Amino acid sequence: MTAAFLGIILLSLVLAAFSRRGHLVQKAEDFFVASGQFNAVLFFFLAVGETYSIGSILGYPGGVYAGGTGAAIWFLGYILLAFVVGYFLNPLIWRAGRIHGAVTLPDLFRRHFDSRALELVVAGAGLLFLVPLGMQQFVGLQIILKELDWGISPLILTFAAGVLAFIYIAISGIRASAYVAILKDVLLILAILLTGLVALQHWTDGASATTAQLKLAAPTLQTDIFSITTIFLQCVGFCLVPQTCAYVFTARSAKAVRRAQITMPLYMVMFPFLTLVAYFALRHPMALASSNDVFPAVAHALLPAPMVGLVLAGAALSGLVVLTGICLAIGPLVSRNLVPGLSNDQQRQWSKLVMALYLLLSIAGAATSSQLLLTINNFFYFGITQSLPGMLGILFLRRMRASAIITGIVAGDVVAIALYEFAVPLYGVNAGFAGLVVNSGIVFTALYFFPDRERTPIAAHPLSGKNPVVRMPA
Amino acid sequence: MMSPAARIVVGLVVPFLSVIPTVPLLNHLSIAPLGIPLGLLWLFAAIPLASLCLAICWVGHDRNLPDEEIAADYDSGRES
Repeated sequence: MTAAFLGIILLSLVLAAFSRRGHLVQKAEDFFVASGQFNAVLFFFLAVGETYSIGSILGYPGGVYAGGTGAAIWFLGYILLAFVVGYFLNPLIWRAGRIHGAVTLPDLFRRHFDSRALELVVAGAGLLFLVPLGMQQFVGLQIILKELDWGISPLILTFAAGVLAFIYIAISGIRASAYVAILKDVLLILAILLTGLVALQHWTDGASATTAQLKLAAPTLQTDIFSITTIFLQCVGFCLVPQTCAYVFTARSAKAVRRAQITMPLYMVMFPFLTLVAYFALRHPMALASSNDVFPAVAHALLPAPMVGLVLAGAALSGLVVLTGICLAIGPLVSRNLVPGLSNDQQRQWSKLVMALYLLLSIAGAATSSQLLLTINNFFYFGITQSLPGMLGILFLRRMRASAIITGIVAGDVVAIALYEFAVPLYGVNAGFAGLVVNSGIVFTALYFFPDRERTPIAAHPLSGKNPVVRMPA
Repeated sequence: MMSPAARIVVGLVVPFLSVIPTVPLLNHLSIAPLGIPLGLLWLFAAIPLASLCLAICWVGHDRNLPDEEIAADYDSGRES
């Protein structure tokens, strides 16, 4: 098991080194968004690699195990519809990124609205809500590494994982992340299919039929409202995640983005198998430290040791790849957006420092918290989605005011967090969705009563002239 | 070539309706093969349906559009 696990980790380092070929000297934009040179295949792996974090592999079956299929409905529903929304929105976000020369989401806001304050608010909100996401990856990595049974302190193991994530980034930034994502995605799909199929094979062996019956809580109107509002919030919010935007900016052309989006839902084939794994654990009572342990525990119970090593390596890589993506999103948020006037080289150096600090902070956070991984997922989208009205302003609307967007984001974040923290009864409505309604109310009221000067929205941008180059189909 | 309205209906409306409100409604039925509720099984079927809808939009509309390869200036405005 250990040999298989370490072999995969070593292979991932070789791939990261390979990604550097032909790009020994990297400018900041190459380090963060590969200078927008990725074709549809690399963009696909990078984008799905980010989608299926360790939170999906551990959190999804854990959520089904702990709370029944209510969690499965909103979790799968939002990811599926995020790809659909992305098919329409992401090519426009890509175009906006190119026209404004953006590496980060706040770059877009600053250049479109010509507002430094808006850049700072979008960057600050991104940083605030990305912090728990890194913690989520380390909580997941702790669970995976514990399964290896090496007898080493979890803190030391997660620190080693953090060092590994930093090495990937230091080798060649987003390029290493994309190449390691290919290995991770292939391995992960195989691991999940294998575990699911073996679980199906042993479905009736020693099953306690009543366990499955007991855990299936009947859906209520309140759980339905939560599912629907969460799906609406997160499927749109997915396109506004800082690292998703960075990945969109890596694409070579708008068509490369669209072609990748078509096949992305098919990657969700893993979820029926993860559901089987969760149901297998419900039918076959096993000792679990927490519900997040379901997937590795079932793999351990059913597969031979070398296979368990591969499964654990795939899961660990998913955490590491997502960590590199988060780091590569956070680095430029600080070095390009919060700290003004850094040169191209300084941006890269500062970013590495910020990433190292972020990794350390996330390790410390993970050591002191073991929240249900799906709860962290919800909290993340509360804040990230609040830039939606502003993004609609960039893409489609002409007279949106930067000060209204700032007020909307701050109000949306405060409302969402307050409703969540004080457990205000909302009859099932997702607190982030309630925040987004308040935010949209502010922005669109201001648009109606106090319109700003006219700006050309990206969707109406002329695709000819000195800057854009439009290639006609052959 | 597919009209822009048909593109929105096929690519956006159909996948959305296949999830909301269909899945929560189906979940209220007590049919559960292998103990898995019908709503969730339907959601699994909606996965290839979403890809199919997007593929129809691509073949019927978007493939025929001119591609955009826009040169970006990543340093413009950073000195200010």
